[in-house]
Amino acid sequence: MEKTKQGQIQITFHWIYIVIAGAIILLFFVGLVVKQKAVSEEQLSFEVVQIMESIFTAAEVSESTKNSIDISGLADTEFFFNCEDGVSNFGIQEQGTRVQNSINPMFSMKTIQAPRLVLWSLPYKLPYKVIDFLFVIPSNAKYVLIGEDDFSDEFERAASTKKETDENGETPELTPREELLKIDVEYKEILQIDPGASSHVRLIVVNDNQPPDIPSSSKLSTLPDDKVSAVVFSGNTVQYYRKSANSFVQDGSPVPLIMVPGERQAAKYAAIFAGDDDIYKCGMQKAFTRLTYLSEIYTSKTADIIDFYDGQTDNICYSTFTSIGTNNIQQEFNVYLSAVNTCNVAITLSEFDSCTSLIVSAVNLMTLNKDMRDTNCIALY
Amino acid sequence: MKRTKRGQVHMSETIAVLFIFFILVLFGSIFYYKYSEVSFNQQQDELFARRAIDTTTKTLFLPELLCSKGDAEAEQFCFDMMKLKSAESVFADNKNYYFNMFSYAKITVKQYYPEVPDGGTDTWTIYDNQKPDTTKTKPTYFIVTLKDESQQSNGEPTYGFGVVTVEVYS
Repeated sequence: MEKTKQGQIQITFHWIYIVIAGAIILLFFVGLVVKQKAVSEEQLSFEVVQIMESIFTAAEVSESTKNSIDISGLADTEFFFNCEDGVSNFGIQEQGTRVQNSINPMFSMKTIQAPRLVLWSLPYKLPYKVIDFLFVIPSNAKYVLIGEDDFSDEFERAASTKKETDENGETPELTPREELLKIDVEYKEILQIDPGASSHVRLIVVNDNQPPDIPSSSKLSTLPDDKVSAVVFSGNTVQYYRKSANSFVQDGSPVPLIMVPGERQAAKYAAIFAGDDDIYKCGMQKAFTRLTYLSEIYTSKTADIIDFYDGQTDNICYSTFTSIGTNNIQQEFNVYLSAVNTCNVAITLSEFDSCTSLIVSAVNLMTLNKDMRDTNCIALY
Repeated sequence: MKRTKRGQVHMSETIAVLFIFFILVLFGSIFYYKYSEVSFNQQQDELFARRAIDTTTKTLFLPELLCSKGDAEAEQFCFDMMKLKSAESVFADNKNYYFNMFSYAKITVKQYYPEVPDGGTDTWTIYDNQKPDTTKTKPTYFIVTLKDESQQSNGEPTYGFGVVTVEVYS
């Protein structure tokens, strides 16, 4: 069969045309798939962050509870937490999606990558309940107590959901649910610490001790510096430390703990679970902003209590707590209110030391409130 | 220039193929656009429902309203009337702060028992921030105990009940 030159050119052109058109079509669909993948990933991370925010909200308001959330499906995802100027950010590392919050104090390590999270909520009281603190604890973090005092015992019991021994002196086993809520806390000497697969090891040093140097023979020395940290409680202050080679160096300056006496002091627990002093101070700043507004409500309640007993001269509540005298609720509350306002301003400037007078007036208010309650009078809280 | 019949048929064929191809691409695009629109609306609805739940949860556990018992845990689903009465003005005075908490919403508490005598107040709007161009509202109702320490009986506060309504605007 004879092939003409024109026919050959036509066939070649035809194939070039098909290849170009095919390539353009292919490119169009590849572009569409790539774009869709990026959009889907962003949408997924947005949904994950939104859902987690809802879980955090629900966990936070459930006062004094621990919840375990399984995030094994997101085990490869690293979450970040930071807080600056009273506004915290939470989101997925290297993704644009994040949630900002200026209300709820959330205390967590700076980054978290774990198969499970324990969400622990404790009410912050000064002396009345101000807000619930939420501690976000990765299941693969290890907390090691160095030194022993009443607080360390209380913390170990509370964190590891330890049960009291029964009448036979035996400790009942934890239920599967309680096992999930367990936080890895133990007393250990620094040489004995085995980080295993822990994402972070935090030393909790009590009794005014200093964090010990890390012997080069210890397993802890093999962990990267950013995976090991320490908090030291001395008196009513907390000092953060970070690992630097085989020793610990101070991270920021000591921060006073603003709290009233009692068990489960949320401000102290928060110091343990906060990633660093910035996250801690920022969370406390949120609490103090709330305290300022909440105090306005209690100002009004104090006035209502005074009004209620006004003129009831034969009533013990009037003569003891609301009439002009040394034990007057109005007077005590005014002192407290002034300390709250001073402290709130100071905290925004990171001057926690100015809050010492607030602790004194909060304790006085707590005592007065207890007296009023014991005398069957209307108490402030 | 001479045009052959075969060439014309070939050209028409190509145009027809291209036409069908673009029609298919158009159908695909319309389908994708509609799917995205439905999916987006669905997501917005989910977010809205989640916000309504979050707002209700936050309201029910507000330390500004909750009844307390000294150092003991707060009484659940109980509002202190003495606090409730002043909450409205405190929330209004600090609108920016509470907006970050409740966003566009309206929160009211209505007392049902004991009945309030004529002329008395039985409804408190503690927070009201309506969205100017609102398209949807989602009300949630919850029964709460109302503790009134100013109405004492045998030295004990009286307890009533009411309904807290949280309306969220979209």
